Amino acid sequence: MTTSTDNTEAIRTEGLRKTFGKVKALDGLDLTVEPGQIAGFLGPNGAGKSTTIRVLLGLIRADADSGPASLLGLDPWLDAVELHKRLAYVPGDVSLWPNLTGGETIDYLGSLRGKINQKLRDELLERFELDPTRHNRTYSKGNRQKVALIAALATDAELFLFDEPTSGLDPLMEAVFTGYLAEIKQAGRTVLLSSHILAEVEKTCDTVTIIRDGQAVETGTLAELRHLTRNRIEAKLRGPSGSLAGLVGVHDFVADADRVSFACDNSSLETVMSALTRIGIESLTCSPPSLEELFLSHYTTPAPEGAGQGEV
Amino acid sequence: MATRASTRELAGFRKLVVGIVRRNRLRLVIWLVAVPGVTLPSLGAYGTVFGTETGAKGRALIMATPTGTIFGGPGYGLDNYTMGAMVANELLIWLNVTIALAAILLMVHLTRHEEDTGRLELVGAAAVGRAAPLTAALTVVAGEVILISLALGFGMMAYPELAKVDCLALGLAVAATGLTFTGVGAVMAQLAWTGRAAAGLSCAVLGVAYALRAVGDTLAVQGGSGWASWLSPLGWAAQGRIWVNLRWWPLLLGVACGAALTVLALILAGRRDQGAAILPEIHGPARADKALKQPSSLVWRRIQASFLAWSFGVVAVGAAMGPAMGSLADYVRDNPAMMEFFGLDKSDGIDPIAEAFSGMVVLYLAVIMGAFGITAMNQMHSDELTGLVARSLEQPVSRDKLLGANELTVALSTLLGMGLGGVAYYGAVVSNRELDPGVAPAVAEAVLRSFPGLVATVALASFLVAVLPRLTALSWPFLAYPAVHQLLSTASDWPAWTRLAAPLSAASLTPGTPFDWRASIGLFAVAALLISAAHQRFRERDLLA
Ligand SMILES: Nc1ncnc2c1ncn2[C@@H]1O[C@H](COP(=O)(O)OP(=O)(O)OP(=O)(O)O)[C@@H](O)[C@H]1O
Ligand SMILES: [Mg+2]
Repeated sequence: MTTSTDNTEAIRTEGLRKTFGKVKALDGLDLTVEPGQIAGFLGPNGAGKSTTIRVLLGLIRADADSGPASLLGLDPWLDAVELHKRLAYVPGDVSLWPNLTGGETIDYLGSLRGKINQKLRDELLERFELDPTRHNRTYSKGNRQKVALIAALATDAELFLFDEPTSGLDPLMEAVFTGYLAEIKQAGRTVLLSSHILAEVEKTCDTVTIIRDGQAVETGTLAELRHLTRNRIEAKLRGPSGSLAGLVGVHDFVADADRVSFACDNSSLETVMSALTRIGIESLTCSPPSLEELFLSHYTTPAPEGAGQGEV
Repeated sequence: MATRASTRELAGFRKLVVGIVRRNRLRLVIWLVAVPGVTLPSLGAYGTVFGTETGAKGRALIMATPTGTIFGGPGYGLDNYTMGAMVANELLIWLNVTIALAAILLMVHLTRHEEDTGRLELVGAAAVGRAAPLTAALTVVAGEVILISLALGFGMMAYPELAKVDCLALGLAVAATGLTFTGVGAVMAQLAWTGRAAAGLSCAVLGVAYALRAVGDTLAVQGGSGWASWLSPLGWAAQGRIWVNLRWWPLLLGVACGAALTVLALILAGRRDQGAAILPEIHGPARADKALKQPSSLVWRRIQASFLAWSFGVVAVGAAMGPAMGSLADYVRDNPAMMEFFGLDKSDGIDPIAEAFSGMVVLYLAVIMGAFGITAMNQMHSDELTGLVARSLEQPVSRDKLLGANELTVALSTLLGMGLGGVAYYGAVVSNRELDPGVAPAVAEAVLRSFPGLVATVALASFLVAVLPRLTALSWPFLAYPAVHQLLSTASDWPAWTRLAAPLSAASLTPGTPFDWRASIGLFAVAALLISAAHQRFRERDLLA
């Protein structure tokens, strides 16, 4: 049943379903994260990201007709205790026992796992500038978030599940977190990172899965995803732009005297470039699509027919 | 200029009041209906049970003891103990405690709690003056207090035995206490760091007020000086001598005190930032104690404060009941209705009476600790809703272990509290020279007899938390049932099986009656069934949050 850990994915779900009453929160979700990867997990509000993570944590149970889910080769519902020794989780809205201090909370959570790296704990407290003697009820949202982050990062987990872990953190603290993500990656550990902060994802993630209405609509490395969209080209030309606007793969063409600006399909890049060279180029910028544009196209337009990765 | 500034301070006041009333209408209506609704019909009991002359005399005798003074009042009119004097001496203090609790809880809920949840920030950002939210909350709570008091005052006029002017005075006494504690709640909401702390501090003030009055009245009854009562808002109400020799001015003290505290709260509110506190923050340890590494030790940390409060309550009640027992036995013997109530007949000496009375005291101690057990178990339910249960289950902790840790810790602390209350009562009985020393072991036996029922009570609460989390409040009727059963079953000849309907009435607690081992084993069996069903379900179901 359980294959050897070397060739199992860190996370694998196939056709995952979870219904709350009439709401189909997950509607056949496929998600795969290879060991050692940092996987971004994106989607608009209510897409089902937190629901997925809660199923993976065994806090809620997938529907009876759902496809399988496995983490580190284990079943998230049946093997929850075993699994939780090997993973760490940080939610986006951390509630904590009001009458414990931050330091006590970190130690308590650590002792439930058995051990906690004291040196790392103290280093994290310092780096995140958290006063561990304050009671949880007096912490601001950002500081509660730090308590959960420190408790998770001080563990020796193989797999980290982060659900908007930096919500409420100031940019400085966000940078500290990003620094630790790099260390995690270096150590070959795996991360699933759900986030609305695209710059964070762009900076840290190897692969990205975009979900909508409980289904994966896009999966791949950032490079692969960029490929699906258009480059933005701006040029100053030596001659008239002529028939450039009519070329296949050129969109949103605007000319202003000797300056042109347009979007260009990846597939037509070669022909367009040679046409430009023939006219003569004084200056040229070609910017790859930002992750932001990629998302906006997924977040705002209705999901295209058959865009889901798996057959549902 | 000044008026413009103050209108701006209060901008949005009316909208806020409407908003508060609308959002909290259920809470407001429940207090408004429940307090008069429970009080007014039960007043009849003063007329009937103690309406005869011997009954009233016996009652006055009890109320003259220290126990009577501590749980009642200074005893004005005991020599001619009319229904009015009884209401003023015995009921008024509890009406005042109730209205004070209502005022504190409402006030803290509408102010500090709103701040804790960040909702006030949304309000504050809208076109609302700085003083408007607190003023609006004060207005709503004061209005609620006055409505409840009016309902009580006018409602009591339905009893012809109660002079109408004094009914109004009683309404005023309750309103004055309510307004004072509205002010206390508002001030504490400014001083404390959180809503919980504000409510805790306000209740501490109420506790001190109660203690001052109890000490002052006890000294006064014994011929000493009762000045301590005059430091307490609860004392002022009693000093109105309602239905005995009415004087209004002590009642007005409370109104003045409420007004002064309100002004203080508004001044304090103007001096602090939103979300900040005026009291300095107390820091705690940077590292967890070695003891804090199990779910059960965390549960204990969660319920510790409430355990101390509740067990202080049972110890106080237990200790206070001992001294009363001698005069009570005399009184019961002289009162045929009471003899019947306890199921005794004339030939019984002091011991059977003491035993019957002990059974009742131990039942009340058990109900108090049962209430602790239910609130402590329900803490797990509110922790589930706030995501704290998830916080533990995200770690390598199984659902069985977490639920079991809650059940075990709550059950053991409930029994421990019951034991402490029992020891206090036992000590009080042993040191009471009027009683035969043979009574003491019977008291110890009664305490032990309550254990199966308490375990079943906790098991029932656990079952509801795990299986019917929407209906956790169902535990309360089961807890209240034994008292109702005891009051009504003898009078209306209920069949014997009706006592099986709730854990604490299933087995007789009265020492001297044969020990009902079948009921006790039955209770443990029911507890085991409830707990196994709870675990079965909790293993299977989704967490609520
Ligand atoms: N316990 C629940 N009961 C009912 N509906 C739920 C529950 N939990 C989630 N949902 C619904 O499931 C859907 C997915 O919610 P989920 O929290 O997973 O979204 P999300 O992708 O995490 O969104 P966000 O970016 O806002 O965090 C939503 O429609 C939500 O309303
Ligand atoms: Mg979410």
